[in-house]
Amino acid sequence: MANLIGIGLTGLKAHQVALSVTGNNVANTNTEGYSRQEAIFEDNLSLRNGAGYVGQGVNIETVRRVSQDFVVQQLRADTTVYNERNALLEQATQVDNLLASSTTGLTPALSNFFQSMQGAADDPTSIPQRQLLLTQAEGLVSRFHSLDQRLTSQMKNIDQELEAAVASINSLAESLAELNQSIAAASGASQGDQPNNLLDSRDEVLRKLSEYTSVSVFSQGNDGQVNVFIGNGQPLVVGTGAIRLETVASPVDPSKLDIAIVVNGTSQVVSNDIAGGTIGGLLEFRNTSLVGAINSMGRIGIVLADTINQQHALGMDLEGNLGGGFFSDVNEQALARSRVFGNGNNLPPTDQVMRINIIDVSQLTSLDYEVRFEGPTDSDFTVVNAKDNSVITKSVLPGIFPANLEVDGFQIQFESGTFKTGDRFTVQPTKHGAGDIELLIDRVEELALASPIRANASAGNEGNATISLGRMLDVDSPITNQPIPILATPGQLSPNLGIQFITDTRYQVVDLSDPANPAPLSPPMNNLLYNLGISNSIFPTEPGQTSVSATGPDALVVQAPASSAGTLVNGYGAQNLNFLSRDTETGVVSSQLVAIPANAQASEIAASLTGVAGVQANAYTRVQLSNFVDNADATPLGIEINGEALTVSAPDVFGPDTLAALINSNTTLQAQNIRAVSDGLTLRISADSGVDIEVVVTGSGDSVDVSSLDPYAAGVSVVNTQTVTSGNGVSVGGAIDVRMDGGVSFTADVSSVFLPAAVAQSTYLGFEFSIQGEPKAGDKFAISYNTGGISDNRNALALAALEGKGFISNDIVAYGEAYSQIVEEIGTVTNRARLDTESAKALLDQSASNRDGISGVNLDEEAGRLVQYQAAYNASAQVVSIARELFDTLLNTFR
Amino acid sequence: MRISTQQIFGRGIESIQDVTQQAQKTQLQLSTGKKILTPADDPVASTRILELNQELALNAQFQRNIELVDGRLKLQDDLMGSINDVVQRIRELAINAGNGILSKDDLGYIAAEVEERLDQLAGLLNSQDSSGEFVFSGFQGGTQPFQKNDSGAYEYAGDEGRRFVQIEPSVQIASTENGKAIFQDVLAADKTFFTEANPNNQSRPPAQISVGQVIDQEVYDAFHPEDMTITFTSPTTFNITESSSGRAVLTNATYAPNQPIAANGVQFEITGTPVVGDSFFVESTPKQGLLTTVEKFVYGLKNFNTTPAGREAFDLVISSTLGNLDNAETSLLEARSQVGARLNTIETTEEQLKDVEILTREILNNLEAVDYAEAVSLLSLQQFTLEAAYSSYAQVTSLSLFDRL
Repeated sequence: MANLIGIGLTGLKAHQVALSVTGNNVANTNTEGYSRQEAIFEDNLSLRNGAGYVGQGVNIETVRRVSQDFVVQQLRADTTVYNERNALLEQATQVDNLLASSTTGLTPALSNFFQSMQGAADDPTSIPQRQLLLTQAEGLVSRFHSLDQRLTSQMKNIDQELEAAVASINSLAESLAELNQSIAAASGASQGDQPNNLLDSRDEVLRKLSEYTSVSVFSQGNDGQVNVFIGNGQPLVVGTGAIRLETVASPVDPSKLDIAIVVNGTSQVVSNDIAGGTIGGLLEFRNTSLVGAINSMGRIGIVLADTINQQHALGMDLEGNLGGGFFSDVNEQALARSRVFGNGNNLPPTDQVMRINIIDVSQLTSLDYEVRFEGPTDSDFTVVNAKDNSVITKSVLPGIFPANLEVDGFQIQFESGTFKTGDRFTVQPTKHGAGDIELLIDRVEELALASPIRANASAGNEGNATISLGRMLDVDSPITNQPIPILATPGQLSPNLGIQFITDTRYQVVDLSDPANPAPLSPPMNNLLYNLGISNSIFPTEPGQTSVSATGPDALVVQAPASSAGTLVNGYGAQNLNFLSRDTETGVVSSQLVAIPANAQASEIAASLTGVAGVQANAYTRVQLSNFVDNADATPLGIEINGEALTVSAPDVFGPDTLAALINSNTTLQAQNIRAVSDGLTLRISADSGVDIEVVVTGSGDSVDVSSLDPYAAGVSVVNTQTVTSGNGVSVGGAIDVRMDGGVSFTADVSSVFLPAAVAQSTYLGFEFSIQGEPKAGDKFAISYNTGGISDNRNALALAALEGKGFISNDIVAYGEAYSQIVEEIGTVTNRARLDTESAKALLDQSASNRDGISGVNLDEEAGRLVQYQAAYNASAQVVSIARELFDTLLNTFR
Repeated sequence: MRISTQQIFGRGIESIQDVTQQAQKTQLQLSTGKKILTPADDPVASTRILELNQELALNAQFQRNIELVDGRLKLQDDLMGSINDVVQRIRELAINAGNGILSKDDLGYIAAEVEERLDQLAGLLNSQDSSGEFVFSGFQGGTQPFQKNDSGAYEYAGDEGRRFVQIEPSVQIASTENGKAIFQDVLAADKTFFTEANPNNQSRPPAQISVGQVIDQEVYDAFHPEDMTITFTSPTTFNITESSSGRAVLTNATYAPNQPIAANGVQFEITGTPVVGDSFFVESTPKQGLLTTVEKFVYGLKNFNTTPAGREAFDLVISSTLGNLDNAETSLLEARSQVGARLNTIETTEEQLKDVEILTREILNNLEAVDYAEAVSLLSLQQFTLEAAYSSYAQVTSLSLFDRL
């Protein structure tokens, strides 16, 4: 019976414990991280008596928490993924909303700017229209600034969130270390019973940690401690020791923070080793989308500023000055230098000065780059893509400064300093582009809406040919970057140009500095061919084109007269010309030899030079006859020109007037394009093809002076004169003007027709005009500065047209499209982040629900348990009561 | 499967939040009328929307440009109409003057009216638009295009500029016309010339050359189309040469201010004190400006001489005036028909732009606008779901075994 009381008591005790456990479960229904606990009953060891083994009641073996490691781990992993996606989504949504809104996006400001440009083109003299344009330009600039500022402040915002996350991780790591210690102590003291609440706490701390970054947990030994690693295996808690994280300015880009661990007092950047969780999401968004958006926005700013500036510089403002800059120069020293800086880990001396110049906006990317000096010598360096470390180019410093290297549309200029192996430099060509754009114009008069050139047809023109209004190509030579001389003096062309038609199909361009004495240009544009039926472009459009004329000692010299009619020669010496041609793309130089035989006619020389790739030669011959002496004997003065005998029958007198009429009416000479002009005293004969003009004098005792004319001097200028007497003749050679494309040059072996090293002059004038129609000999066109041209809107139209032109990504993407691309990219990232977050949330809910399903408290269940344990408790009490009754019965029996 | 009490409450609230969120988005779509609220809703469509909006803005600008061009062209057309009226009146006067019975006095009266008409004509040619820009001066909008020079004759001071305006992405149309093309480049009935002083002349004040006249058409026709250059070799002597060949026409002629100089059938005067090196040009031209024609007519009327030779010369003046006025009218007519053609072009372009606008708006609407019927029914469905969620939540959470104990 005492036994029975004992059994009853064990039941009472055990169920009391079970009821407390259940009560505790009910109490902790809403405790975060709490795992429901259950009391494990165990029957006491039976005792053997006569009847066999009789049970000895019950005891609570242990109070166990219901928890599955696998489910807890899964929950941590899903928490990490969800927080990563969610952090990315939160950041992306901010940029997404910023970019697309009509009040904050770039599109409306860009549209307004170009619309007001169109408005100004409609009415270029209107000050209100100009004011509107200026205001819209200011609006555009401030929109760039505010977008840049918002995106940059998001960088700062990410930095702050990283700091907060690192602080949380540090405190969680300390808690973990302490919990490890407590658990080890508790486990040791309790001899096998688990410290349930400590384990729950540690699981909860680990779960919280997994919100910030991915977490791996490994048990250590048997004392219940765990080692915790974050990211890609970075240890955070080992046993009872926690490692501190901190945020430091990134050595690659001090404008942003990196995460570092502190080992023995020195910090080591581990940003790349940390993945997942809030930190992973923030870093991912920052390194891909945000940096990309900032750079792309900067690229639009740079491209816009540069292209508008270039076009604006070609214009003329309301005060008659050349346009100049519209926005600030993209290659201003301070801006160019801010695009590159040394890595924070570079060893001293850090005295290097570098700059990044924007060369070709169409080649610009939105990438960041790094210049790495990786040896073997201090001069060897590599340019890599900072995002994926792929090598873009390798090069070597030449040892003299400044040294330049062109990459992806920009130029890295090493200005000075000691570059050494191990140095790294961050190159951000476009990052500041949107923030750096500034409006340079502050007065409406400075808006260059007109074009500085104009053409007028002379009122006296007989033909119906018309000249185009003209198109500006460059103010500075693209080859030398120096102002082109003709536009270098403000407010005028130096000199004004005239286009004069010598015949219906030949024209020359002359210097009209003195309209009474038109002078040949230098380099000359003499005797050029006009093509009927098409539009004739008058000036070279290729900036690199140069010109050399035959100015050697043999050229244009009239030889001493000789009697051997029919075999007369021009006396041009033989020479070999070596043409060098450098391919502008590849830089490969090829050469071609042209051998000029002795006494070759200018037309022949020109033909063989034109055969060289990139070379065009133009030849023409000009001869003057004067001092016609006729001794009035029986045989009158007669002249043969290129074998055609020209004589006059009495009573006409043989003189320049009659001779001119004879030459101009001679069909054989006409076929050779030979014509003559007389001024009453002298006769000037010219051959457009450059054939030799052979003059033979007949008539005994008579003579004529033959001179060659200098086509490169103003007015009528004689090179030399020979008196040709009867029976003798001379053959006069022509002039040759050689035009060479960019990269082509030549040298001669000896000095005869061409000088051995003639200086090639640039033919490029930076503008272009075209003439079409049918001109007549004597027609003139004048090209002058557009003084007073305030109603001209040509440059405004050209500026407005830039809106639709592709400049970005190899000339295919327009400004607006480039912006749309950013919007689309961010939109896609946000959209994906949204979907990812939703699915990560579903997974997280699933594993949370798995965990809650296993470890969560269900009140109904606990209510059931309460009833169940209460019943068993009551029953156990009944057992004691019965035992007592049995005892009483027995006592009463003995009473 | 086992479920914890926390889950029952948490899940219920969460699903209610989800539906509320969806309903709120639908409500936002309904209140803004837009299907796409942020680019993330549909990145591709929102890029397209940006582009379409830009197209619409550009389209609106082109329509504004057209309005402006329309105004300008109509102003030009009106002006040319008035000019034509005046030219016709002068033509009537010329026919009148050609009537042989008129006396010198009568011609004097006609001359007076023609002079008035000349001023009227010059006023019309020098018209300014509402913003004060000269209509017919090309790019020189601030310069009066037809100005009297020192010798009292009208000269064209504008240029050959012609302003274009963008009216379609790839089409530019001339919105202005220069006076040279319409009123100066008029084919002359007889070969004629114009005179010019070299702008580089050093005399101060600059010596002037008069308009001059052809005194012997036959001699001049033989010389035409050559030009002449007058060069001063001393303050009192000058040479005249043929410009193209340098042939001497007059050598070392003596200069006296304002004395007629005759060469190759033309006559002109030089005034002022030229210095060595100063030069003047006599340039042949097949054209004669409208104002010059009227000026020459006035000159002829005023210098009418009753001698038979004078009558003959006067008849010549009348016939060439009539011919030149006809040519001027033709030139005006051509210019007006061009303006008319441009007006037609911009009208059709405007219609086209409006069509494009409607089409673009339609595409934009399809991309961007919310389908109200769909959205409203979606909203009521969400409302229904939400109500169901509320009541079921209340019911499920009110269940507890403890209540039954």
